[in-house]
Amino acid sequence: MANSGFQLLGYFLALGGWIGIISTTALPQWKQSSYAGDAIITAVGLYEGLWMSCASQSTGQVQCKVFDSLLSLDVHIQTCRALMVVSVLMGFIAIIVSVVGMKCTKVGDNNPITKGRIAVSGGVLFLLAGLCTLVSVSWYATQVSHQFFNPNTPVNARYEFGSALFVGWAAASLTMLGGSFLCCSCPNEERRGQQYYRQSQPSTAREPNVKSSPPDKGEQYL
Amino acid sequence: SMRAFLELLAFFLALVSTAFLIVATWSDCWMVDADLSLEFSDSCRGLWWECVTHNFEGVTTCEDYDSIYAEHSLRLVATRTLIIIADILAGFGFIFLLLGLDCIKFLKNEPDIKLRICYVAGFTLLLGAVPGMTASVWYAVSIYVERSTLFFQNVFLGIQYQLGWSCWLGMAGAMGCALAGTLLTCCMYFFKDVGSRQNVSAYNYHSRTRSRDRTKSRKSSTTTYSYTKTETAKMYAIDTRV
Repeated sequence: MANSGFQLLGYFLALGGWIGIISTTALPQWKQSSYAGDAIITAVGLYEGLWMSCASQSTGQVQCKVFDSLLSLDVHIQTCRALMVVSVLMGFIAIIVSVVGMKCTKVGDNNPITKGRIAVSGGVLFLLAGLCTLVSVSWYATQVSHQFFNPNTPVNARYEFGSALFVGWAAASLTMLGGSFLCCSCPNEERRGQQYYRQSQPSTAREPNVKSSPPDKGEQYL
Repeated sequence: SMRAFLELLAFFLALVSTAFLIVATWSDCWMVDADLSLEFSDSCRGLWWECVTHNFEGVTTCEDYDSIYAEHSLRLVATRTLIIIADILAGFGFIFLLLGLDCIKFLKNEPDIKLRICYVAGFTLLLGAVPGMTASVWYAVSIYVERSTLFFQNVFLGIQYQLGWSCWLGMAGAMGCALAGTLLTCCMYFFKDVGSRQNVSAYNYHSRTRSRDRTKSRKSSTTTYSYTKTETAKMYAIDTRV
């Protein structure tokens, strides 16, 4: 069985990643106006997220406007919203599930195999959440770069990757790393259970000894 | 057991109220504009910036306050300081509480140390509730005083403010921290013996095996002893029973 520290490390990595996913979803800087090309001097920086578009004036004022219509939005923004919300929800469920499954909690202590499986399912949920975020952020990034290099886009209206995209990539990789750490608690454990099973076969001959000795973890599986 | 129940209750209270305090610190509606003549827009002021939302266009314009070194009102500086202290204390109390929880296998050999960790966590939460409460109540009272003086002087010019949701959130968070701290210190102290009293008799006649099995936690002692008993130990136990 993967040791308790390894599981804890995975859990906290995934927890940090989940917080990153939430802030990525909320941040308005998914793409921001580009200053590449000719020297364009503007007093306004534009940026846009999944929910609103903002204009930051050089005087320090920031004006934001929530997107007006849900249905007239671009398909990729709607899909990214859906994926991000799904991954936040999955991460939330994974956080609760893995607490039950981790070795450092006392819940369901007398059934270590089930506990291990619960931990693995929490890890799988974390992996899926990270994957959703990765797909959403990468797809948005593809769209942004596609529009940037499109010759029909006017030079003044070009957008670049915003900071939320990088936060999203970092959060997705953290969540997936933590999830895979949690998944590591599966195969070792089942192997160990089988080992105990094999070892305990010949020892049935010494039954009186076995009875008086404290029951091993391995024998509880039988 | 009673102790585990109290701890879990305090855990969820502490989680929610720490979140409330942190959200209150960074949200922007500590006071909201109460002037009905500006009916097209809502104006909110926070601790760090100020936002005006236009109702029909849906445009929000936010502006940071001046640099942190610029002159601010005493109320603003004091509220910022106190609420940040409350955030830090509540956060640390929450983490301590996590280590002290009965269902977390940390220091499971020493239930007394875990109990003490819980006391420390409760004390930290209580300590964090004081500045949080002071900050939000002070802010609320000063807004109320400001508003009523303007009202009594028949000044209706300019924007008058009333309490916004962030201030209420701060008060709720501080109250929750105080409640969780009370649960962890006072109530845990009162119910300290309830869970372990039924095991006292088991302890008395297992004094020989106790030193060997000190590693077992006190709560599960009755079940573990039944496994570890050898025949002689059983006889010994029966002989010495009073």
